[in-house]
Amino acid sequence: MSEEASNTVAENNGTREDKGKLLIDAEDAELLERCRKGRVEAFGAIVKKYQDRIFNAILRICGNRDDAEELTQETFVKALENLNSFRQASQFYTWLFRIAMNLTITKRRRATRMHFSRLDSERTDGDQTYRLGEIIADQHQKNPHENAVKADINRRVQEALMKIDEQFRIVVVLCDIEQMGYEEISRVLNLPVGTVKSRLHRARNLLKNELSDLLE
Amino acid sequence: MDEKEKIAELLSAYIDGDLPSEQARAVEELLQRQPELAKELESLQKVKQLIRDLPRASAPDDLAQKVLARVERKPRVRLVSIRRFGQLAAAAGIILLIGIGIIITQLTHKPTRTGGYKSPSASGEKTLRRSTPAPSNLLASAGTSFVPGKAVMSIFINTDNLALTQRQVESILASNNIKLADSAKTTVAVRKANKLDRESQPINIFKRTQIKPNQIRYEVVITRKQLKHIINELNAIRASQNVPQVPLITPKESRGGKGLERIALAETSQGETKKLGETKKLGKKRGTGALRQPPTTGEEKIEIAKASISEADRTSKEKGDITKSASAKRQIKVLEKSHSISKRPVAAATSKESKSRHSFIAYTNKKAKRSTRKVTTTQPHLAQIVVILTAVNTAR
Repeated sequence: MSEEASNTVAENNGTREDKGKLLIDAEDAELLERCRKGRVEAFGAIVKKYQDRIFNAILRICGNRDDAEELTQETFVKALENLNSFRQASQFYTWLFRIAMNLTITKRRRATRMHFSRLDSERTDGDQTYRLGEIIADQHQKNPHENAVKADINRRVQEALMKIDEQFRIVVVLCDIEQMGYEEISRVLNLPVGTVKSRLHRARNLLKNELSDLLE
Repeated sequence: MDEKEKIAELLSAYIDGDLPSEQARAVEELLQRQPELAKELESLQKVKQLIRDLPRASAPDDLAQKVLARVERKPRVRLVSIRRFGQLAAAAGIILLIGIGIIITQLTHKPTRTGGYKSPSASGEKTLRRSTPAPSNLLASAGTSFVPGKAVMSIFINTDNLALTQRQVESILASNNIKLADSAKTTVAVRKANKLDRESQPINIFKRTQIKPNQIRYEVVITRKQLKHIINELNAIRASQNVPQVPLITPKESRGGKGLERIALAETSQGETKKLGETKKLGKKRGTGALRQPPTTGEEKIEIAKASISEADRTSKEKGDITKSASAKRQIKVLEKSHSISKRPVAAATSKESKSRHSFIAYTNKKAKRSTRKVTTTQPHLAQIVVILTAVNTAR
């Protein structure tokens, strides 16, 4: 990922989108224009710019790296297929998230090829047997021993997320991880803002019960 | 929603900073008054913080390459689960139906343009799908016909002076700003002007084919606005000929021909109508049908074909049962032999190849392409006319 693109991602990750901000990011607009002209490298740049955000959000929802990767790929392929239908009335990443969330929900419902593994299930990879929760919680830690406590907490949180209903999990991920505003979440999920608020508070209550020992 | 629930929702919105300042102040006052609420708020803030603190996972480094590779190789083959089989089977069924529809459309479309017909065979009825026009003495008795479901019209003009009639027809076309597709350059230019892809039939451009020494065929796709005017002028040419013309038959109710029905083409005299009715009955009764059109091309064509036999038969026997007539049977055999079943070249043969070469552009322009493909004769505002000039008295 280019430095500029990384900065943009960091910037987007760190700030909540202003309410009512509908104009597309200038850089995105330029990349999309080039995409429409058939410039492959422009689409490659878009993928690189947003892949981490999309991948992370899907991973937190489905809890499985392979599935998250598959769904992230599908999100971008679908975005490219429907590029002409993007009217630039919203931020490009809002539109991308909508595709990603729709795909995730659809795949989850079909529950065929996709298997949303439980985090406490075990998987064998060569000689190593490990818990999926640990893979997710510890993936960035070079020295797991130094952050054992933190990793355990993260695993517990991810497990709690996976226990609550998907409709609640998605709003929590979008609000607390992706730091989207209610309006934006409502656009992504095509839901009224009131429903978003209500789901969010119910999700937090459920998580509070699941993680009660960590909150004391 | 009860009061407690409302307050809990307000707290959730409060920690997200989503409350208007007035409501936020009210919540703060409430929190000061009710310590249990403050505790609840603290718990919710901790939950939010725990979620936020989850490490951010990065996508695999090669994800972009994988995405682009997927784009390049689409449509891709997937392993199908048994559960999904039903859905895919339903989709396949729909595609099959569409395919059958296209085949039927082609079968009904082509004979009309060439004056083709269906003839009986030993085992039943065999369709001459891609036939050349019938000999002039039979074809000369054909008139106008419509193909149900398609806005395609065939007009047959018998003439004793082919060259003159040809000039007249071309003059009509020219006066309606319809150009001759004399070269690939013209076709390309027209397609470009109308923003059509290579699969679409160009509008306002006519194709002239010398199908026999005494027969010339014109094909043109026009808008329905032009249609009535052109038909009237072509009818005037028909009327001015010194040779007998085929009775024109009013098109029956059909989806594609709906707009065409307004054009009154019924010149059929009472006597001829009766004759047509009689011959049809005879054919049906004997179960052979003599020369018959494919059912999808409509009853009109059946009548035209039978009328053709009737005409030929009358010259030799004056009257009689056409299905029993030896001369008619001989004619059928001659016709069957003379009709080659050759496939027309597919114009869009290279489209697949070009798609694979430019798959990325095809992706981004998919919708735009779809919209241009809609420009065909099945479009409600377009119609296709096929005019066949036949020199009746000139040597072949």
